[in-house]
Amino acid sequence: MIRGLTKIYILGLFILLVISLFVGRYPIPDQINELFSNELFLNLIIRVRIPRIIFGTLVGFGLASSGMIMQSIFKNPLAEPGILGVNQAAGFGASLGILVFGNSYFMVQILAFLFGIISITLTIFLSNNINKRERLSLVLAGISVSALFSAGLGIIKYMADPLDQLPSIVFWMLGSLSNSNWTYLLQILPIIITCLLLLYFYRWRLNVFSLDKEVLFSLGLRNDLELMIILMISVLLTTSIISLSGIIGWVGLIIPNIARVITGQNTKYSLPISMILGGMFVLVSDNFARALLPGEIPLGVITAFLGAVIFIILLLTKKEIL
Amino acid sequence: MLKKIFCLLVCCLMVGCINAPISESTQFTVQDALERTLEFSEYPERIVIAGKQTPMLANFYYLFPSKEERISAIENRSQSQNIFLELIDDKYQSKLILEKGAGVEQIAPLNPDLVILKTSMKEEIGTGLEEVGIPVIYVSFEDIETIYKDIRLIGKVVDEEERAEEIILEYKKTYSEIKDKLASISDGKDLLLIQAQNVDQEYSFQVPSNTWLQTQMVKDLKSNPVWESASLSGGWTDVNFEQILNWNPDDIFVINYRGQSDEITMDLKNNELWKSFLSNNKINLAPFPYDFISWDQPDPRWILGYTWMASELYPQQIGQDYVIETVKEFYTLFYEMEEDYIDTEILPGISIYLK
Amino acid sequence: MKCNNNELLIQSIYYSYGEKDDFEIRNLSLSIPKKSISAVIGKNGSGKTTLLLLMLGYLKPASGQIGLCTNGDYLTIGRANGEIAYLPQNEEIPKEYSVNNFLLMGRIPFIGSFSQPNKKDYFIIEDVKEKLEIEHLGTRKLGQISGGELQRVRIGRALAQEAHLILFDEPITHLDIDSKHKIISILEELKKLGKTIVFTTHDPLEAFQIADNSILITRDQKIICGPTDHILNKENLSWCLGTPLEFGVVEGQKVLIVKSRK
Repeated sequence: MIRGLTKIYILGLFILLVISLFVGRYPIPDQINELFSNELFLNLIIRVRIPRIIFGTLVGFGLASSGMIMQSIFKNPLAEPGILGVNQAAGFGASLGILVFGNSYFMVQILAFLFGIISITLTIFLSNNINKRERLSLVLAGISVSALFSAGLGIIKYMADPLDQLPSIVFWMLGSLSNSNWTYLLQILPIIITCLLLLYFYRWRLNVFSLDKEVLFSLGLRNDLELMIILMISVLLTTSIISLSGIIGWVGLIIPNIARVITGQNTKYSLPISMILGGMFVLVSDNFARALLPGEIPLGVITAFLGAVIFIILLLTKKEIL
Repeated sequence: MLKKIFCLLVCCLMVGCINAPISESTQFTVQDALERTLEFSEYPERIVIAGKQTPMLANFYYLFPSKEERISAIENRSQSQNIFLELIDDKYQSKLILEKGAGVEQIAPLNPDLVILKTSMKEEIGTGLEEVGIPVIYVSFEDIETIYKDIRLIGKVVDEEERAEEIILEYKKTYSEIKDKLASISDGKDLLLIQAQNVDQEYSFQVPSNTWLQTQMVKDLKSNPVWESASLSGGWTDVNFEQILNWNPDDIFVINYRGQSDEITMDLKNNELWKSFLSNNKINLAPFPYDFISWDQPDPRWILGYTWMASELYPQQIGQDYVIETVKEFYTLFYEMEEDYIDTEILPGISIYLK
Repeated sequence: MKCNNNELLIQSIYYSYGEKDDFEIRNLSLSIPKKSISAVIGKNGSGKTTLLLLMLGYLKPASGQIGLCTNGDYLTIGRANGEIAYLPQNEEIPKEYSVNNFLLMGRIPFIGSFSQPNKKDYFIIEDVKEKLEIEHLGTRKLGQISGGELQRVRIGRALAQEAHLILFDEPITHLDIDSKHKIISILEELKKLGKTIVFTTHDPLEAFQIADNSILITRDQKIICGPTDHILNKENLSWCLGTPLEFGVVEGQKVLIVKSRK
């Protein structure tokens, strides 16, 4: 039964992708035969829309699966890279990288990842020292750490960037896919695809984190090595996305919760569905962002709006979330 | 007895002398861009210019070079502002004592008797200054009539009303000349102004607010500002390439506030996507001129921007020579520059904008 | 190290919680025979769970050695990876999981990190469900089954793990009487299947019922162990449980009588 469900969602994603090709500020040529002969339109589709659509889908895949991983590891439905400070730290690291190392894409990625790891380590450490048992302490720790890095990002942008080298603070805080092109996409594709594949293969094993530590020990998981590796993969996935797209929130929080409502707790099914739903969510949001109004709306605004609405509905109808 | 009367008389005279300047008052009133009325009992002698757009406000102030010394401080907002004003005022460096982003606490200790601010700075600094008793006048310069009004305002405040009228006359002369030359034009074209910024290997584009001078000037030149529907906020609005394609304007002028407009324009012309777009639709892509500041700004150079746009839009009616003449007259009459200097230092820099 | 038909060998271990606590295990040596059931009896807080965790290898003794003898080869406990099943006293049960999925968790030692359960894994859990008579519970959620059924499912996980040694912390303490009975007979069945079981309790009657060996533990570091018949007498039990006790027989069954204080 579940297999059939996954197929439906994949089909849905595919349909959405095709539809998205035709969404944009530039109108579709009136005659169908013009569709292929209009060189400008074709160019537009191939060079502008396709990379952006692909990147948007990958962003959705990545952020949703990271959220699912973190919610499973921390046994907390409120966990996600944004709430745990990873997004903001990645933004901080990326902007630091741009400022110090200029156009070195490599260094930007490394710094984003490094600070992502630092932030999640800090969050875990803080949370353990507040109150190990309380679910809320993780969220509280995460909020503090993310506030710290947000502030750091602000400091970098406003005080250390007199020549305005960095993208605007609005870009960082609210995210945007407007600078998607094939060059960027091809640079980032290997990392994202690798991480996504690894996480996909891990989808059944992810269930282990719902068991007690001693039980895991008895089953052969004697240390936190596996946990740390999977967490690092998630962080890498998130930071490489964020360094290109700015901070996009709510996807990692909402989508896994919705996926679990649909498929149940077994991560073998909820992780893939989460990915697909995440891709669809960001795709739809970005369609609004780039085509609703003449001016570009920052993507994070749309995901926050849609995400918050869905979150409120979830809270009111499904009390088990918290 | 007589000695006592004599001393008393002398005292009265002295008291009379002391009081004399006060009774001979130079009181005047002005109305500023926010329609506030201010009364002055004397001409301000310690004027401060601060807040956003300080460079442009300073450039307007320096249209009155005889009153340079009444400036006690200017906020140090940008390097390029400094380059120009150092040419005009050799004591300029000593006036750069306010750091960028200065607030009430930095301005107040300078003990100014007048602060000139852009209208948008009211909440941020203006109100605070007034609360500590420092007089503020707001200027706007965001459309042509307001420019004249605000020049008169500054002229009045520095006791140079004649000079103000001179300047306005000069503006009006060029303005009506251009209007005359374009009198026969009935059909306007579609025009797009975009600010292009080089951000992390990509360009981002923004369109100006409808309330700004740029949009007014475009309309005044009988062109249609295609971005009007996009202007969401009171500031610059992001637009993507698709939207630009959709607008399909006849002319696109590329603005950049770092003086890179010509580089960026060259880049776009060589870009795969833009190439076919520009040639298929026969679009004129041109960089907006920049000497010490971009000519699209609400700055004394607005007339240069206006003249240049007219020549780009209507090359038949307004030729390059006219633009060059206007530039020469501008710097000669407004800033008392030597013709030699203009020929060797300014004109070469803007030749790239003139075909 | 000779196994001698023992499943688990504890030699001269020393363990303490550290400065916070005065609890200590000093120079303890004991052996758990293969295919037997052993009961660890003590009051709450006497260290039963600690002893179990030491046997698991989760807690490490400061000195001494613990070894596992599966297949006749001695293996220090540190090397035994997934060979011992552990069922905690108050395990946090993910209520939304299906029974099937929970049972599959027992197969973790056999499935690679980036792999999925295969046909063999599914067959094994079908087999396990049959043995424990819980086939009908396969798709039910863990939160929807009774306490007794849950215990059977947990045992099922241990079986899916193919462990020879099963450590069970308070298996029937909170169950109602008919469930208790069921679990006890299951434990006996498991022994017949060749499993070695160590369970904890504070009710010595459970030991009487099925335990071949008993280990009495109190907080004051004294641990007595040996065959149940020998060591479960009223003196030892009274000391161990801190209350004077008497034995009685009712309908052929041993019962405990608490001597009331007057």
